[in-house]
Amino acid sequence: MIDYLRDLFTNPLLINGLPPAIIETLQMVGISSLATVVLGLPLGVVLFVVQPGGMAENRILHTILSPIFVNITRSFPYAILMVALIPLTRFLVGTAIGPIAASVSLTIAAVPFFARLVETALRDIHGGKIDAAHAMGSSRMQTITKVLVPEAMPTLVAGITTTVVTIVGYSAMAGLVGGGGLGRLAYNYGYQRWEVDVMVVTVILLVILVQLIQFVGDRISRAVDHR
Amino acid sequence: MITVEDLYKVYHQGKREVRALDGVSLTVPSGSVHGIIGHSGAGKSTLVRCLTMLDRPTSGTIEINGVNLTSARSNALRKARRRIGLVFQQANLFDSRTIADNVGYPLELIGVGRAERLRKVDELLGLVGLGDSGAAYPAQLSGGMRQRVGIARALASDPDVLLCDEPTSALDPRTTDEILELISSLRGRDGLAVLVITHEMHVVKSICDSVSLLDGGRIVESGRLTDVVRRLDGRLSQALLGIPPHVDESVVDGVLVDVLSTGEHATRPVVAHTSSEVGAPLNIVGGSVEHLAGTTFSHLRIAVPSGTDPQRVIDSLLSQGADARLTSDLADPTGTEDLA
Repeated sequence: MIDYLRDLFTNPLLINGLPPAIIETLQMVGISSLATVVLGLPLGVVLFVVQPGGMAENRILHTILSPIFVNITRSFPYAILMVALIPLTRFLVGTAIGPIAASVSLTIAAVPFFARLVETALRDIHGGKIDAAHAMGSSRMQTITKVLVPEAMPTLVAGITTTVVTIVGYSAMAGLVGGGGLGRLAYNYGYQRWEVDVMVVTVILLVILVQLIQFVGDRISRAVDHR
Repeated sequence: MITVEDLYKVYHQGKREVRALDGVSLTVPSGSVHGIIGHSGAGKSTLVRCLTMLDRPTSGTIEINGVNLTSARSNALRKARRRIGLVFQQANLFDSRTIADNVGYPLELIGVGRAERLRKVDELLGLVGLGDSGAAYPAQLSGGMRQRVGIARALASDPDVLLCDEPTSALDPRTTDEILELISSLRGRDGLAVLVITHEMHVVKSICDSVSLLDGGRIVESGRLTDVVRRLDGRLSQALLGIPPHVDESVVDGVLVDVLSTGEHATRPVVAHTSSEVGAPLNIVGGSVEHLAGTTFSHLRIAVPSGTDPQRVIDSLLSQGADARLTSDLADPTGTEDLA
């Protein structure tokens, strides 16, 4: 057992390959999570307010955003979306290789998913609170920033957690087509070269990462929950 | 002072036209508490939503101290809305905010500075008896306390009208009375007009100066509480001062007469006096006595035995300052029992 662990910790593939792979994964997950929240939160709010019977009902905008943009993007298998977005990625980042390039497709895949979670979180807010906000003379923007988003915060944090975990899963796939990270390490060495140790270690690291994200997310969600 | 004129709200359900409000007019002067009572489906909720412009009325006008709410749009409407403080059945507080931040919300909207806001919030929390709960969150308070916060929040923008929508319907009887006492104590605060919408007769009896009965989207009866109670055949009188429905009239021999006496007459033995005057025993089969707005009202139903002319009994009662009618002459008070 001790010999096995010594072999594991002196395995050059792991010593040389693991640190950059971890950094690449954290880069991909970090950049695309941040971008997803920044883009997905407003999109989710818009989906909520323009829905039929919503605060700012707008049928045209609703049709463009909900059934067309969100549903169609979400129907794409990530592997296909990733490849289809290579030209856009080249245009935006200048290359289709590396963790920053991979963040483009990760973000585009995650934004509609997160936006739906935001929309659902906002729908759960009791209509009486929105009435109260209006009756007190709140503008639409004040209702959104001072009432809707704060009231939905515990659910929104839970949604962010779910989204980040999903991005971790997708990032392993993104690794295969040039994103790098733990996913590529596991695939290239573990799967293609039958280095079982490498595969096991990377999978364990991904499990730890996901557990950590879920733990921190739950903690924050509980801390902001005053219901 | 709030003046509502000819308010209509018409919905379309497919081809069917639903008149939720069918020409409502009313005036609530400053310093008074007006109750609007009606059972479910009478148009109460629609009226509240139209008065606060959460729903736009189909036609008609709402004026608060001369400012027209119905013609206001966007910015002007938001400003005008601050003239009405709305108290909800389920306080509808914001769970993410502390009590102090809930009460301060209307002030935050118009950019009142933090120091000034805290001062005002302290004053309002003191007024509703929650001086030391400012740092708590709504979930930590009882239903009655939450409703107090709701009232404080509604008063934060110094409104001209306090509109209470079923303010006690979610509360237990004791808390109900505490909240009613609080609402009643606000009467006359800086010329506040209070409008209470309810299905509970108890609320009207406890705090209202005047009352309107809403039925089928119309106000079918309205007036000062002490006036409407006096109308022996009025629906509001039947509801406010009704004979308990469990009186079994089929076992009574003779003719039934309803007697209503008010003020000092209510405390005099009018029935006994009449009994000796007509020389016949009069049996009291049911009745209710209420003390409303400082006046005692008594409504009795008596049985005049066969062989005695009921008209003589009625004349004798009338001569003593009471109102009396044959029970069979009174309009059937359908639909008011569930109000009482």
